[in-house]
Amino acid sequence: MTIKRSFRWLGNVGLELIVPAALIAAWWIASLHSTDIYYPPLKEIVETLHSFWFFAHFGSDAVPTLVHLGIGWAIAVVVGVVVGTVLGLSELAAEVVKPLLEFVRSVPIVALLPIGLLILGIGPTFQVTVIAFGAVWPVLLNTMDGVGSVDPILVDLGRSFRIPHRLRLLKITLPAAMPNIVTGMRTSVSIAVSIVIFSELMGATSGIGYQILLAQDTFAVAEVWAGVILLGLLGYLLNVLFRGLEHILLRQHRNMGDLQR
Amino acid sequence: MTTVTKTHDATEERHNRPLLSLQGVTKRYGSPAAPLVLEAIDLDVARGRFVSIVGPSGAGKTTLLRCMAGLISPSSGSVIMDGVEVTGPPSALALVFQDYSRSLLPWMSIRKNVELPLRSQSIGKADRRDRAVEGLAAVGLSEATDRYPWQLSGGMQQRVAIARALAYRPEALLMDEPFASVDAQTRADLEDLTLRVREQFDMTIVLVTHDIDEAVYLGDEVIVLSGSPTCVRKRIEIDLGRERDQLTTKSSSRFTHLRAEVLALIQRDRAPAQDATA
Amino acid sequence: MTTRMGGTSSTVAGIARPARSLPENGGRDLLHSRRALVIGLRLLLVLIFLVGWQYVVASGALSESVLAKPTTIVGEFGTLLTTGAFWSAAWSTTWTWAVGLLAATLIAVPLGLLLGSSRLAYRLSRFTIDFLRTIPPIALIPLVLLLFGATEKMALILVIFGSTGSLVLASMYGVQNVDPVVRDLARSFRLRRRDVIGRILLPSAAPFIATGLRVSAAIALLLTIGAELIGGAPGLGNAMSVAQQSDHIPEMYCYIVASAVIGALVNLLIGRAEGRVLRWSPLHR
Repeated sequence: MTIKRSFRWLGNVGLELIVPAALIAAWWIASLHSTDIYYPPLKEIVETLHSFWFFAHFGSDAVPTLVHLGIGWAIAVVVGVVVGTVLGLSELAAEVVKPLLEFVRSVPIVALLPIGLLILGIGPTFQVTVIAFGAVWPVLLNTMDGVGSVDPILVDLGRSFRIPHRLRLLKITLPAAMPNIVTGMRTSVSIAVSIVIFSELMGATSGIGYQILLAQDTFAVAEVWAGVILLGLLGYLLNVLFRGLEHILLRQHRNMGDLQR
Repeated sequence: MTTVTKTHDATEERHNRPLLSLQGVTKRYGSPAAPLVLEAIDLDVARGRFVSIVGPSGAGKTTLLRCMAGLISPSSGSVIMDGVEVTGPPSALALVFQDYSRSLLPWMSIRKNVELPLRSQSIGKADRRDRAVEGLAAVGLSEATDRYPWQLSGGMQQRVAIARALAYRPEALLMDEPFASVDAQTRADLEDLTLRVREQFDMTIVLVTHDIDEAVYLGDEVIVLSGSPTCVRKRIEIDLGRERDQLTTKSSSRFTHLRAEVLALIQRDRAPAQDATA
Repeated sequence: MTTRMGGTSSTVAGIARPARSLPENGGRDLLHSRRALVIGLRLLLVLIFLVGWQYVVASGALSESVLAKPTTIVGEFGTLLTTGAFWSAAWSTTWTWAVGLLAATLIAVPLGLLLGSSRLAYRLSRFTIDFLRTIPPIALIPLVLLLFGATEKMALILVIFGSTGSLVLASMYGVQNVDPVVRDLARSFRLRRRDVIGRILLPSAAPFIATGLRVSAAIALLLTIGAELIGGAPGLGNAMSVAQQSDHIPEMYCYIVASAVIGALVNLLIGRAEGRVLRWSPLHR
């Protein structure tokens, strides 16, 4: 029975991978003898990917990008959750501030980057600051929402049992708001990734984005393609990692949901 | 001469033949090793009859109805509608769902909701509208035609669902625990509405319910189902006459007797579980 | 004024706050005065922000060559609004955004509806779409710049590619979440295919598509301005960059403010349209 089940699992996974595998194969074959400078053979792109990024420039460029991303995002999450919780707990504050925050959130973040560059100059401070600034909003707004809409029954629970505020916050409010917070975190990851790349395209001395722009400037076409693929892989990887994190954070909620069903 | 007799015979045969017939219907979900939900169901619904189907909770009542409605096919056996085997939802049947609020489309007005099934019949726009209005009038909702489902109460929403089924002009109405989610008062009103509608349109109705009172009050016969795996326990003829009302019928001794008979059958199926916990 | 969440909020929320208990006749006055309080506080916050900003520059904490004063910006804006260059840049950005978003919608929604309605199609395409969606569209800027040069076309292609992802997903999700009762309804009444698509699938999926559209619209604007800023395609982003490079800092800020205004307008517009089209949805009643 387990053999049958593993075959079925393989079949499932296989089914999902058919199309991507076919697409890659098609690209490979179609471009194999390409002489168009703008569309080099996939073979060459992969070779460049290997020779350039793994692992020659990994430490010097990929790592700084990831580090800036990580720090910026972490700051955004912490600030977003803390401020979002404070604002969410006060109905008045939330109501006052919400439209203002929505407005700020609707401003295209790339338009604000030149300001950051002017004030902070090129360098890691600029990178981390703008990432944090751009990624904080989804977390903040979603936390506000989550904290503010905790089931009134749970609120009454905390009050009627006279549970101290700090405990109430940690054990009732925040866990109840977790699904919202996690959703906000998910959005902020993709925003953070976009910003880190964009900030490097604008002003940096190292990093994945920086290298890609350099390659574009010097017409190293295969390197541009390789860089884009690297970023694609990176984006996907981060997505997968985040889903794992989400899985852990929302474990309780999932169990609860199953129970209700 | 013979052709005329033949058609006459055919019509008579048609009239004598049950409208809906289940023969040896069996249903299991999943692999052949999965447990049976329905077991060898034999059931006939004669034309013009009101058949109540009642059974303990968890019995395959809904599965049975879905088989009848052609929404699922039986694992073995067949469902025959008017002499033709059912392989998909037959056009002569209309369904009234239990969850009325979810079966009415919120982006359409009441009238448009009622008209929706008529679009697949070849009748013109004006006729559709007339039928919808007629159907809504039959359930007493003439003033609500341009309102939206979420503006109506639960009872009214279920009336709309009934109107929709009526406008469709089916030969038979299948009702899946239609009054389970309304309060007792509304339920009484809807039960009487169903009886009126049955009279007015000479409709054949199959009603699945867990409410024994309702089953006996409404039906010409009550089919009692057993617990899982579900089969037909007994068919009880209801001789309460055509004129029924909430007050007198439900307090008559005949009603009480019939009700007790049905209850006894159902309780017998539930007894083993009680013994186990004792 | 309704305070609805932007497109990313979880649907787990939405449980109403406990209603305020108000006295019968004094109730309305209390409501009005609370309203006034809220608006007043809001204005106060905005004022504090602007005054603070003005002060930070005026006091010399940040030089005027990096942060223009609000008053300077307003003045500069007045002049800028009379120039053709400003309006042509604004038009370029708006045009690229609108056309790109429209094209993305026309591609993504039918595709998403199709992929969502067939289990096989969904499973075959899921990995590909997931992967393509997680490529940060910004990362494509150097590539499209290389391939298409610093043109509007480059920006357009970028916008289309970057905005289809979330719309496809939203449409797919919308189709998959058609209520099973409604599906039964369609089958039991033997509805025609075109009625199923037009009167059931599309309206059912509409709220999800609307959310996807709001997200896509924001992404599209981001990409438009980004392509202009880095890639040099004509538009507000480019004007911003040119102004900064020629040291016309207040002018740069004006273009930034203009971008912010467009962003806010886009958000408002889509929100309004959504509210009107989806009047029937439980979220908007």
